[in-house]
Amino acid sequence: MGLIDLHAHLGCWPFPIPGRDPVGNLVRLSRKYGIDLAVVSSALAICYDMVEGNREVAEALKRTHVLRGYVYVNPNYLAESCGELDTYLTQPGFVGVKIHPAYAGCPLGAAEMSRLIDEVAGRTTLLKVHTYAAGDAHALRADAERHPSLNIILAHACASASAVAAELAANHPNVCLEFCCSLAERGRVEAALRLCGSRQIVFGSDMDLLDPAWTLGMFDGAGLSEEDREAIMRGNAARLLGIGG
Amino acid sequence: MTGLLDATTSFGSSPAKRADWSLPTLLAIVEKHRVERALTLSLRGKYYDFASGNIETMAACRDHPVLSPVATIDPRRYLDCLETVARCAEAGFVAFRFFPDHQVWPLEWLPFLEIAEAIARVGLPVILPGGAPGSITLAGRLLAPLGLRVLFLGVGYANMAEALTALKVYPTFYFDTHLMDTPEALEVLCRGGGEERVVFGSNAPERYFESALNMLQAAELSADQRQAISGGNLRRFLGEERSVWV
Repeated sequence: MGLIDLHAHLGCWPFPIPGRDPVGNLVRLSRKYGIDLAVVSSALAICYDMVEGNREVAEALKRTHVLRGYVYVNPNYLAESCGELDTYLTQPGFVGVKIHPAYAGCPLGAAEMSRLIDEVAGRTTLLKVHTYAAGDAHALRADAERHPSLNIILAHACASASAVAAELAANHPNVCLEFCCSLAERGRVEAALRLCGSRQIVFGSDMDLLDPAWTLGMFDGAGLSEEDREAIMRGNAARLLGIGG
Repeated sequence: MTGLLDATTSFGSSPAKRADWSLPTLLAIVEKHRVERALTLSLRGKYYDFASGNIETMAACRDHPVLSPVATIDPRRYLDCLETVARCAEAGFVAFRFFPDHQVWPLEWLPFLEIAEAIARVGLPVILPGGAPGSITLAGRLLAPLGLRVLFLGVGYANMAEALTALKVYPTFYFDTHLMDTPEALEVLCRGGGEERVVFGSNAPERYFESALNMLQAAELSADQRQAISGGNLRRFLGEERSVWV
């Protein structure tokens, strides 16, 4: 069984990454690293235009069976975000929602963000949130408690503050951690395993911004047991997506 | 992978966060991955005092031949800095590494430039951080005229464009791989003239060795390119080997 990647992006980057066909890039990388399914959010939606970006994801899902989609929503456009949720979460291939507080310029814990998360929780069971600092985990505590049936993935596991993220996960079974990050700080994965166990850790690559080899290397370095590796690389994601492990 | 040389390692304490960056941990990583040789330095020299840090570095390298000593100097100290250049060259250090980002001093700083000139006179190379946009450009203006070989650490996607441009402009500039995490990063660098000036670096034990290693192993390179990045380029940076590409 192949891997399930819960953190991928559809779009272009202002960096020297070859290839101008985002779907082609994702399919090629998935094949190279044995990824069966990759859940993408739109870089265009995150960086510039939510509606246009989500539309691109919907089109991409028709091109390949490898991809699934997150609907991207933005707290600065609450009504429009609700419209996006209603449009796409009923379509095949969309499995959850993505929020990026930094690009939206709206921190977790802000009233606008909480209102948006409330709307998300009423429509889906899977939310992936960009997190890059301890404060993100602290702020998400209230959301996790307010919505126990909403599974929240902390993308990047708060980067160098991943121990704080792992503490949140240890106390909230609806919180999962995902570790893709240029900051491949040795020991992050092992510390999280000790705190929250492998059941609340999922694999995400951040492709095609990052090469999956990078984050896979972090898990290689952590010396996972076979059981933990299977859970992290596939089983936990399958559970969250409601598909066979 | 045998014969792998690692340009970027260190050992010591982690003051800002609980972490094991000890010498035994570094040695265990080096042994596990059959690294043939790792350039290293004691973090004491970065965080506290370069004189005692350099002593610690040299002692570790004498005890463990797989390690090659890199000296460091904090230009803020001023006193003894120039003498340290000569002393370290005589003692067998293979390069000088600087931490302007951590120690908060500008590259275009007279105390540093005076040290850089002294290093150029003894013929050793310099190692600098290269992740911040503008850092390589500035080093080009300041250090290339001195003829210094410079290895930039930590170039990632945000600064890859600057590295690719520098490869065309500055023939004595090299780049380590420890933050090169984008698809085809190494292939792009090789196509851009980096096949003789990209060197493997892990930044172990601070970072996962396996992330940088996986990128090298997954890269679609010729056997010559892979061999060069794995070791030959670092030897040439150190002045130990001539180019096989000319």
